[in-house]
Amino acid sequence: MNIKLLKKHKYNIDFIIGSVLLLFAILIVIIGLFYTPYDPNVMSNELKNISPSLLHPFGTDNFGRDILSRVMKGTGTTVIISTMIVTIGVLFGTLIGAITGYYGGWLDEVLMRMNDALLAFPSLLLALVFVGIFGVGKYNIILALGLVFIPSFSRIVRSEFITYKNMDFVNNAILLGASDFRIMFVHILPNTKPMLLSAVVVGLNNAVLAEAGMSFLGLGVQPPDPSLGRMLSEAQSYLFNAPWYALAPGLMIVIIVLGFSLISGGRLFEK
Amino acid sequence: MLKRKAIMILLILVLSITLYGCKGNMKSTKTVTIGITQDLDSLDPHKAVAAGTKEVLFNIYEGLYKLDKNGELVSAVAESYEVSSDDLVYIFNIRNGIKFHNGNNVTANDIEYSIKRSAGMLKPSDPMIAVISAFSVISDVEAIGDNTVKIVLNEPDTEILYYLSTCDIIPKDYAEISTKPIGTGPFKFVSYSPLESVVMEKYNDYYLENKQQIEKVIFKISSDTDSAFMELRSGVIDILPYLTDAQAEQIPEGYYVKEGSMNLIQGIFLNNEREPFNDIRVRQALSYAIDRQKIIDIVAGGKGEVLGTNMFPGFKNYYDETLVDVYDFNPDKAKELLKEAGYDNGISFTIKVPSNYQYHVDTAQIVVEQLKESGINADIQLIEWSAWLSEVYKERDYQATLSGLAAEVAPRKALERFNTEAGNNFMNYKNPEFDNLYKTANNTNDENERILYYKQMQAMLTKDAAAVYIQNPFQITAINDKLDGYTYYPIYVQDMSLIYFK
Amino acid sequence: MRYLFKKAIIFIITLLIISVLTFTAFQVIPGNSALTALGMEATDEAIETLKEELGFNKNVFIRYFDWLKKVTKGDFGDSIQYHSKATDLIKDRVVVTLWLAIISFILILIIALPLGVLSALKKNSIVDKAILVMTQISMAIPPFFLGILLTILFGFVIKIFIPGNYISYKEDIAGFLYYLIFPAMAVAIPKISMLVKFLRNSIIRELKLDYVRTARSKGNDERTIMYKHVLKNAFIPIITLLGMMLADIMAGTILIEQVFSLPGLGRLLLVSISNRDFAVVQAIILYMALIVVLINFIVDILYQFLDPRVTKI
Repeated sequence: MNIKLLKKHKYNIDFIIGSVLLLFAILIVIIGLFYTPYDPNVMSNELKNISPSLLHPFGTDNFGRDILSRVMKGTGTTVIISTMIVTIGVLFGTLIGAITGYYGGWLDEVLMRMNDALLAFPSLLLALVFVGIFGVGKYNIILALGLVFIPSFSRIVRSEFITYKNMDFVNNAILLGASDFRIMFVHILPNTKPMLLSAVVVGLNNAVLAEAGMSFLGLGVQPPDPSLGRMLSEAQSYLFNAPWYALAPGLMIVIIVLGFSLISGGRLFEK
Repeated sequence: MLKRKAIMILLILVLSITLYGCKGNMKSTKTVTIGITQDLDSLDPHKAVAAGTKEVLFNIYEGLYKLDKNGELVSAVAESYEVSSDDLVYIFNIRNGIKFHNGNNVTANDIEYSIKRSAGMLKPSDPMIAVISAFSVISDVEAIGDNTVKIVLNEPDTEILYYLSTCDIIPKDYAEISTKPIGTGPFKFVSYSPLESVVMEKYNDYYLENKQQIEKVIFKISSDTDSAFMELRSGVIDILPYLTDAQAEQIPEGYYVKEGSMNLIQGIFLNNEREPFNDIRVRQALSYAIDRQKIIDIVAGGKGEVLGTNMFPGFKNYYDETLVDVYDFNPDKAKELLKEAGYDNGISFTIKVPSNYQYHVDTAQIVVEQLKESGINADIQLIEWSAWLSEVYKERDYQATLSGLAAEVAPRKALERFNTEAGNNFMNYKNPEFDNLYKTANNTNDENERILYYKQMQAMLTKDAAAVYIQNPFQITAINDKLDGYTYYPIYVQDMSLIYFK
Repeated sequence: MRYLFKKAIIFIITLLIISVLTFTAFQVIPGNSALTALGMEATDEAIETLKEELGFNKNVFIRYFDWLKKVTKGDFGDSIQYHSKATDLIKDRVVVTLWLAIISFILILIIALPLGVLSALKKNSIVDKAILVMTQISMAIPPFFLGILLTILFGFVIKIFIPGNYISYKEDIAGFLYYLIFPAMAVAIPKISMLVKFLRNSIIRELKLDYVRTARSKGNDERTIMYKHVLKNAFIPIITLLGMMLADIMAGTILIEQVFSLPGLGRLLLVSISNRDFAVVQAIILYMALIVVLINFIVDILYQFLDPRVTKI
C-alpha cells in the first residue's frame, strides 16, 4: 500500500541525512589532513578571542588561534580515537556477551562478576591505572578507554542472547546440526543488530565525551594538539566573553553523533 | 492515559520549583563569603602543607611574630625579644594578657610545646607533622616561668625569626586541634565541613582592637575556578582571589577588581643533569628562545611581571631586578648556542606540566610555539599534581617542567634549593661557588652585606640558566562593591581581618 | 534460601574483586600519599617515617590482608588528608550523592517513559523525528558542559537557581532537595535520550512480533494490546538498561558534583584520588560498587520474575 511506500521513503530520508552529515564530517577530516586555513597552533596576541568574521568564520580562541582550523584538525583526532575505542568495546564485548549469554553456567557467572566489578569501578581511576601502565598519549587513551567500554557492550549482547537462544529459529538450527559458533554468530547475532547499533551510537557518543573528559584531566590528547572534547572543555572558561568558542567544536560533535544515529535509526526499519 | 499523568506530574514539579525558587537568598549582612578552590589539607597548623590551607588558617593562628603586608615582621604572640651577643640564645617575652580562643592564657609552656612539635622534637613525634626543616638549628626550647621562652640555637641563623613566624602557637597537649582548632588570631573557628566550607567568627578578645572587623567569614570551597566564578556571578561569593585574566574581563556588576603580585616564580625548570640540559649553552639557548613579555601578554593580557632570576619579587630589598635584561628574545643567538653545543639540528625534549594548573598549561602551549622559531621541538606532557611531586620533585625524573614556586616567609627559601646537597634541589643544580656564597651569606649578620651576597647568588643562577625564569603573575581578586580593605601580602595570605564594609 | 545464599557469596566475591582492583590501582599509579601529605618541603627521612607508620613498606599482600582484616571489623582506615575516619567522612557525603542519584532517576523516568512510548506510537512522524533530534543533540553535549549551560540558563537567564547557594540537608531539607534538582537535570538529560531511544526501538520491535498480529486478528483493541502485551514485553530489556543506567548515574554524579561544587561522594573521590588518599578511595569505591551490585542483583530477580523465558533455563 501507499503507506508502506511512504515509510520506505521516510527511512531513506533519515538515511540520506545521516549519510550527508557523516560524509561532511569525513570530508572535514580529510581536508584537515592536507589543508587548514591557518596553522592550527599559531598564536597571536592581537587576535585573541575575536568574534566570528569572514577571516575567521568561527572566531579565534584565547591564544588567538583560528578555531575553524583547530576544529578541522581536532575532528580527525576525535573521530579516529572514538571509533577505535568503540571498535575495541564492540568486538570484545560481543564476543564475551555471546559466549556468556549462550552457554551460561560458571563461565557466565565468572565473567559477569568481573563485568559487574568493572562497571562499578570508576572509569577515571581505571583510566589512570592504564595511563600508569602504558603512559600518557593520544593512542594509549584508545586502549585504556576501549577496555573500559567492553563491559557495557557485553552486558547488552548477553541479555539479547539470553532472549533469543530459546527461540524457534535457534532450535531449528540446532536440529539441523549447526555448530554453536554458527548459531551464535550467523543465526543469533544478526537479530541483535538493532540493539547493538543503538548501543554503538550511544557508545560512540560516550567515547567522544570520555575522550573530552580524559583530555580535560590531562590524560588524553596533549596540548597544544586539538581534539573536539578538549576544545569544548577549554571553551567553558570563556562562555561569557567568547561564547563562539564552544560553537564550532560543539556543532561538530552534534553532527557526528546525529549522523550516526540517523543512519542506525534508518537501518532499523530495513528489516 | 500515561501521557496525561506524566504531564500532570511534570506540571506539579515545575510549579513547586518556581514557587520555591522565589524564596530568595537570605544572608546575614555582617557575613563575608570568600571563594577558595582547594579543600584544606588539615586544620592542624603543624600538619597543613598546602599554600591554599595556610592562607586560610592565617586568620585563626599566629606565631611569635608574623609577617605584615610589607614583608616585615611584627610582634604577635610575643611582645618583644632579646638576643645574646653570640646570636645563639633568644629570649621571647609573651604579650601581656594574650588569650587563646577558649579563654585560657597563652603560657610559655604552650609556646615551648608548639615549637617543639613543629620542630619534631616531641617524643614520640607524630609522623604526620610537617617538620619545619629550618628548625634543625634549634637545640633547645625552654619555658622560663609563665611569660618568657628561651630558644637556643646550634649555630647563628639570621633568618630564624622569619621561620619562627611560620610556627603557629597552639594550646599544649590539645588533642582536638585538627577538628576544633584553637589559636590566638583575629578570627575563631566555628565549623568546617569537608568540600563545603570553613566558617569563622570575630574573636572579640583579640589584642588589636578593630571596630570595623567583620563578624563572620565563610571560606566557601568550590571544585574549580570556573564554578567558583559562577558562584561569584550569582552573588553567593563576595571575594574571589586568583582570577584568570579572562574572568577579570567578565566581572559582573556590583564587583570591582584589585590586582597585586602573586609572588610566584613561574619558570621552565630544567634538569641540569639530563641531556640536553646538562650543557649550560643549551640552557642559555632556551632562555634566549622565549619571549617573556609576549607570553605574559597572551596568557594574562599583560598582567604579570617579567622575572630574570629565582627570587620572590615581594622581598624588594633582596630581589635583583636588573637581571631581567640578561636574556633578550633572540632566536638567532639561541640557534648559535645550540650549534656550539653540538646540536646542529636543534633539540627535542618533553616538558612535564602539572595538569591542575590551567595557567601553567596555557603558558606551556605558548612556550612550545615560541621555541619552534629557534628550532627547538618541545612536547607537553600533563601530569597530575601528586605524580608531579613524586616524579619531578622527588625522583627528579624529567627533562624540563613548567611550574611555579610559591613565595615563602624568608628570602633565603628562594635560594636554598640550589645548594648541591639540598634535598629539594630538584633541578640538580651544582655550583660549588654558589654553595660557598650561600654559607657565607648565612653567617653574615649585617643585612646590607647579606643582600649583596643574595644578589650575587641570583646573578649566578641567571648566568648559569639553571632554569628559564618567566614571570611573576598578577593575583587578580574580585571584590564586592560593599567591601574594602583587601590587602596583598608578599606570601600567600587571605587576611580577612582587614576587610570592612564601606 | 539456597539461591539467596549463592547470590550472597557471588556478591561478596564481586566486592573482593573490586577491592583487589583498587588496591592494584594504587600500586600502579604514580605519586604517593606520604609525599602529598607532607608537601614539597618534607625531608626524605620524614617521608620514610610516615610511610613506615602507614605500613607502606610492607609487602603488598600483607598490606592487603591487613586492610581486609580491618574492613571485616568495619574499619576502613583513616583519611590521610582529613585526619579522620574514612567512614565518618563518607557518611555525610553519601546523603548528597544518593539524593542526587534518586532525583536524577525520577527525572529520567517521568520524562523518558512518555516520550519513548509517544515516539514509538507516532513512529516516523514529525513528533518522532523532533524527539529523536532533540534527545540526540542533548546526548551529544558533554555532561560537564551541559552542567554549565544549565547553570547559565537557570541561574542567569530564568533565575530560579542560585549557583553556589547549596544548603546542607541538615539545615533545610527542602532547600537541599531543591538545589539538587538542577545538577540532577545535568545527570539525567543524557540518560533520558538513551532510554527514549531504547524504549522506542523495543516497542517497535515488539509490535512486529507474531503475537501482536494474532491479538489484532482476534479483535483485541489496540489499547489492550499496547498496555497488556506490548509495553510489558518491551519493558523487559529496558530493565537491564535501567540497572546499567543506575551504575551510569552513580558515575555521572562524580563529574556533575564537580561542576556544581556539590560536597558529595564523587567530588570526595576525585579529591582523594588526586591526593592518593587510599583509605577514602577504597571505601568510596566499595560503597558505590555495593550500590551498583545490589541494583544489578535486584534487576536479575526482576528479570526472572517478568520474563518467563529466562526462568525456564
